Amino acid sequence: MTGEMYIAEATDERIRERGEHGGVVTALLKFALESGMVDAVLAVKKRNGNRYDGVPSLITEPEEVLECAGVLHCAPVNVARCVKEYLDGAKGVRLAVVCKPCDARAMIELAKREQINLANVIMIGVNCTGTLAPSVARKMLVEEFGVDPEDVVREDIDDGKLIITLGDGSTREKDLKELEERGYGRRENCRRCEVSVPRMADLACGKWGVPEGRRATFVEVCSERGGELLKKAAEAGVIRVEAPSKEAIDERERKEREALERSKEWQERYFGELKEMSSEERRRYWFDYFDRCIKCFGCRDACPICYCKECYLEAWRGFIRGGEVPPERAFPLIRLAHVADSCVNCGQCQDACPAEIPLSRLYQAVNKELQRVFKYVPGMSVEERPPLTVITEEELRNDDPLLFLR
Amino acid sequence: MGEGFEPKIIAFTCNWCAYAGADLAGVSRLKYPPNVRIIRVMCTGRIDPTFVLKAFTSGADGVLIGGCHIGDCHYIQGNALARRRATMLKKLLEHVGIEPERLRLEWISASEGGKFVETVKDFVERIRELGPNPLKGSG
Amino acid sequence: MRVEYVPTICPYCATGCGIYLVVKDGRIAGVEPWKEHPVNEGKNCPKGRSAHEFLYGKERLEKPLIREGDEFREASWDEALELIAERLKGAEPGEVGFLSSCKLTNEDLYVMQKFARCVVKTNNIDTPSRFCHSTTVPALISTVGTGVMETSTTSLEEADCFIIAGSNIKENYPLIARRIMRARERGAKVIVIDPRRTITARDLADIHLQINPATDVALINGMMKVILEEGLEDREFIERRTVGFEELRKYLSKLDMGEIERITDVSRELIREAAVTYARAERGCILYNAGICQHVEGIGNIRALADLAMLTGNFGKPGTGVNPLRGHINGEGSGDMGVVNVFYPGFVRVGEDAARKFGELWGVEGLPTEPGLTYMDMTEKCRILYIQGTNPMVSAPNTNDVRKKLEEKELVVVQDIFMTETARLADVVLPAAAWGEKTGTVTEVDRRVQLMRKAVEPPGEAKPDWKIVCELAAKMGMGEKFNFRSAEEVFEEIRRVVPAYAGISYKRLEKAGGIQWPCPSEDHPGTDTMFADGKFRTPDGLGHFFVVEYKGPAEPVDEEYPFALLTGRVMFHYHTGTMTRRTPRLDAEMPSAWVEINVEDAKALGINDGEVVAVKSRRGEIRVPARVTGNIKRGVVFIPWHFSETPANALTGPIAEPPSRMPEFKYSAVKIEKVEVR
Repeated sequence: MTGEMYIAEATDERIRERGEHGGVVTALLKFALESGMVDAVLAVKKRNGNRYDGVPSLITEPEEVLECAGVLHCAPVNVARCVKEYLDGAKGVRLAVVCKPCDARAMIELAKREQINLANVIMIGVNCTGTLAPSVARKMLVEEFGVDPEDVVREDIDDGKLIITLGDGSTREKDLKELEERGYGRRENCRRCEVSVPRMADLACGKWGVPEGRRATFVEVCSERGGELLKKAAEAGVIRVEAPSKEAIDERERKEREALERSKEWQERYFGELKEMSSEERRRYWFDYFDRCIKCFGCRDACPICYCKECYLEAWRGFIRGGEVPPERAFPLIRLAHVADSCVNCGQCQDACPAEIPLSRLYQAVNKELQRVFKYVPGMSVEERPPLTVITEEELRNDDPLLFLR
Repeated sequence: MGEGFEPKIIAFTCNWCAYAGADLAGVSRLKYPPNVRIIRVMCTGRIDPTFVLKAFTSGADGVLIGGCHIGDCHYIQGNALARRRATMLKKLLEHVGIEPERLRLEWISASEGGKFVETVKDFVERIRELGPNPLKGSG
Repeated sequence: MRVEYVPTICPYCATGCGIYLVVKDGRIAGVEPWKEHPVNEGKNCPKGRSAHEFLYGKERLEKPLIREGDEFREASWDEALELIAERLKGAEPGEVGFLSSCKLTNEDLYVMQKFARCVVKTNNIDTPSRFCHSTTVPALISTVGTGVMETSTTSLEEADCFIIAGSNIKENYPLIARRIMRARERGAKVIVIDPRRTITARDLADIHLQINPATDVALINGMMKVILEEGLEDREFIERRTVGFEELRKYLSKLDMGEIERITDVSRELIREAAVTYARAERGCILYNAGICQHVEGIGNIRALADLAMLTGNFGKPGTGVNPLRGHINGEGSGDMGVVNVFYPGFVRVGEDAARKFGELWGVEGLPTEPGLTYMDMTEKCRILYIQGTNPMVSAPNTNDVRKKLEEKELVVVQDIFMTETARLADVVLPAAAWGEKTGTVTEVDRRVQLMRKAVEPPGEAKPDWKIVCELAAKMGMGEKFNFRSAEEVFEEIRRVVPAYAGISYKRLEKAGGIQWPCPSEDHPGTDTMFADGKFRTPDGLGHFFVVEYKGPAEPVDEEYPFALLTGRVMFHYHTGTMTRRTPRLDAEMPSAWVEINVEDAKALGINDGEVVAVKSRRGEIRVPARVTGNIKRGVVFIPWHFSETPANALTGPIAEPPSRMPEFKYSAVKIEKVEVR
C-alpha cells in the first residue's frame, strides 16, 4: 500500500469543480467525516470568502467541508499549533487534517513529544512550493500584476512562476525569482524549503504528475492509514482512481527535483552570505536584529515545536530578567537552543515578529548544520527521536568529546 | 586583545569525575590558573544549554564542561547527552558569531588531577588568544 | 468541541492591531495572528499577544453592588438602577458629572452622552482623554481646523523624515514604531525629542534632542528660526495656504539661539541639524504624544509643532502632517461621539444652535446650551458622579486629593469590569461587559473605525455599557429615546448624527482594517490622509500660524524640590493596570513601579540601584526602588504610573487653565530621599 500512487478525482461534480485539482482532498475529508472515520475535519477556510484571510476551521458537518475546497496560497495558517493548542493535541478527538509539509512535520515532532496523539489524526498532506504573506500578496498584486486583489480566484506556483487567475478566467504570470528579488513573492522560509511533497503525512496529494488539462489529483499513499482511507473512499465511490503512467511519475519527480534545486539556490544565497561573514560580522548581524526585540513572545507562541507550559523565557522562571526591552541577550539564544534540532522551517516565528527579525533564517541555518552533524531530519517519522534525546550503542563506545564534530 | 586581559572561565564539572579530579589537583598542590570558577553538578547530563548561554551572555569568556569518560558515567549516559548538547551549542554559538572554541568539553576522571590542570591551563591560554567575550557588557 | 477564530481588535493602545481570538467552548483560549490586517500584518506587541488573559482575572464584577457601610452587598439590576434613577431625578443638572472612558466602544460613548444631555440635561461629560489630548483639540483646531491624526498608520512608511516628539513610540505603540523602522531601512531619518534616552531614542533616532523637560516650545522655535535663516521654508505653501506668517517670522527673528541652547540644553548645532533634516524632507511627519500634550502649556507646544509643519509645507500627502497619537483604543471615538463638555457629537460646539440641532435630531427639548465641567472640575464640584470605565484613583493627578473628593460625594456610581481602586470607593457598582464580550466599534488613532466582535458571553449579570445606560434611561422615563436593541442599531443612529461616519456601516466594517473617516457616503472608500484636497478645515480653509512664547512648567523645580518628575508608560503595562496587572505574563515582567534616576544624581544622593527611595512632592509621597541609569538627564526622574499601590499620581498636581484643563503629568517638582533601613 505505502508507496502506491494514483491519479484520482472526486466523482461528485460539485466537489470536482470547487477543488483545486479534481477535489480529491475535499472528497476524502468529506468521506472521512461521513463514514465516521473521524469526528472532525480541520481545514483552512476563507473567512467571509476572503482568500487572503485563512482561518482554521473545525468542521463536523460534511457539507461544510466544501467551503474549504481550494488552495489558499496567500494564507499561511499555523495548522500544527491549532491542533496542539486548541484541539488538545487530538487526544480526545479523531481528526482529519489538511496539512502542508511543514504542518505535517511539526505535528510529527509534537507527537514525538507526546503533545499530539497521531493515532487520532489522519494527515492529508498537500504538495507545497510555498505560501505568501497576505499583506505582501495584496501589495504585489496591485503593484506588480496590476490587478485588483479581490478579483483573483486562484493562485498557482509552477515551474518557478507565479500564475494568478482572475474572475473572468484570464491569467497573469510572473517569474517568481524576479518577484522575490524585489521583496515580493513567497515568505522567506518557503523560498528555502526543501520539502515539497509531504511523504511524512498519511497521503501526499498534489497536481504534479497530473496530465495537462485534467482536473485530477496525484495521490501518493504514505502510510497504512492513508491507504485505508483511499481504498474505502474509492470503494464508496466518492473518488475514482487509476494508475499513473510512467511519464506522470517521472514528471512529478522532475518537478520535485526542480523545486528542490530552486530551494537550494535560495539557501545558498541566504546562508552563503552568512557563511562568508567573519565571526564578528555575524555577531553584529544577529545581535543588531536581536536588539530590536520587544519581548512579545510572538515567535515562541507561534512555534509549533514550543509547547512548554512553563517556559524558560518568562520572567517568573528566573532565567531572564523581567521588564527589559530588548530582553537580555540570552533570551533569543535560549529559545534557539531548545528548538534548533527540531525546527521544521514553517516560518511562523518570522511571520509573527513585529521587529522583523529574520528568525527562520537563523533557525534553519543552525538546523541544517545539526541535521548534518546528527544525521537527523526533523519531522519525517515519529520513530526518529530528537537527536538530543537519543544515545546510540556506538557512541557509548567512543570516548572522543568531539565525536560529532569530526 | 587588550593588555592584561584575564579570561574568566566558568567550569561545570561533574561530581563523580571532573570535580573530584579538580579536587585531587588541589590536594596534590598542583597549581592551575585562578581564572576558573568551578560549578559542581551531579552529572554533565544535568547541564542545561541555558546555563552555558547565560554564562556567555553574562560575560564569561570561556565555558569548560568537565565530565566522566564515556562508559564511566555514574548515571550511565549523562555524559553522552552532554556531548550531544555541547555539539549543538557549539554550532549555535558559531552561527551567532561567538567562537565555538569558547566552549570546551573534556572528560576528566577522578584520578586525573593532572589532566584537569593541563586542560585548564591550555583553555585559559586559548581564550586569552581569542580575546574577551565579544558579548561583554550585554548580559 | 467547538473552536472558532473570531477576528477583533486589540483592546489596548489606539494603533488598532487586528488579532484573532480563539474561542473554545465558550471561553477564549488564546490569541492568534490576523495576518491580513493592514495595520499590524499578523504581528503584535506583548500586550496584544496576551490580550485575552485579563478577562479571567480576579475580582471581576458580575453583579450590581450597593454599599452598606464599609461593605458591598449584591443587588438586582432593578434595585441598583432605580436607586440611581431616584438620585438623578432629585439633582440639578449642574450637580451631576459623567466621567466616561476611551476604552468604551463608540456605541457605549454615544449612548452615554445622549443620556447626559437628554435625560439629565447636562454637558458635564468628559473622558480621560482630558489627560492626554485635551490640549491637542484646541491647539490643532485653531491652527489647522481639526485635532486628528492627519495621515494613517499604514502610510507612515512613505515619510522620509520623522519627528517623534514626546512619545516613547517603540515602547507604547510598537506596531507604529515598526513602520518607522521600515521607513528608516529605506533611508528615512528620525529625530526624537525626549528628555529621556528611551528605547525609541536608542533604537530609532538618528538625532536625539534630549531637551530639558517642558522646553519643547523653545526648541521648536529654535528649529523654525534656523529653517528661516537657511531659507528652507516652503514659501509657496506659506503664501497660498496659510495666514499669520509675518508675525511669526518677526517673533522668531528676535529670538536668541544662545538663550534657546541654555533653556533646552541642546546645542545649536544639533538643533540646526534636526531642523535642516526635517525641512529638506520630501515628506516630513511629526508624531507627537503625551510628552508634548501633558503640560499646562500643552496647547502652545502643539501650536508650535503645527507651525513647524506649516512652515515646511508638510501637509496633505501620505506620511506627512502633525499627528497626535491617542492613548486609548477609542480616544478618537470619544471625541467624535461628543463625550466632551464643549462638543456635541461630530465636534459641533455646545451652544444654542447645537442644542436646537440635536434637539431636533433626537426629538428632545431643553438640551443644555452651556459648556459643562471637565474631568477634574467634576471630580471637585459635582455632588453626584457617574464613573464609567475610568479609574481616577490611579489616572488622575493628586491621588490623595482625589480620594478625599470621592469620599465626600453624595453618590458615586462606578460602572466597570473589575473592582478597581475607584470602584472600591463607590456607592453603587455596576458590572459591565468587557472587550470581547460585546460587539461595538472603536475609532483608532488614524480615524480608523473598526468593528470588534463579541466572542464570548460576559460573566454573571454583566451587560454592555450602552445597554446599562439605556435601561437607566428607561427607569427615568425616557426609554423610547433609548430603545436600541443592538449595538448596530446604535451605530446606525451615530451615522445619521455624525457626518464623518455617514458612509460607514457594520457591513462595510467586515473588511480587515475598517474604514477611516471622513466617509460621507456608502460608496466612499474612507480617507487615508487629511487635507489632501489642499484645504485646511479652518473656516477660511487656511492654516493659521501662532506665535508661541516659551513659558515653562507650572511648578518649576526649586531648592526644596529639585527634581523634575516625568510620569509615563512602559511596554508591559497599560494605564491604570486594571487589565495588564491581571495578565500573568505581563505582570510577571514588571510587578512593581520604580524611579529612573541619573547615575550622577544617584551618586550624589548615595543611592544604589534597586534601593527603595522616597519620592516626595508637595502633594504626596511614594516609595519605590531606584533604577540608576545614564539614560535620563540629570535633574530629571521618571516613574511609570501603572501601579496603584505606589501611584505616581500621588505626586502630580498642577492643572492648566481652560480650555484644556490638562494636568501637567510631564513635570512635577519632587525630591528624592533615602529611606531608613530598619
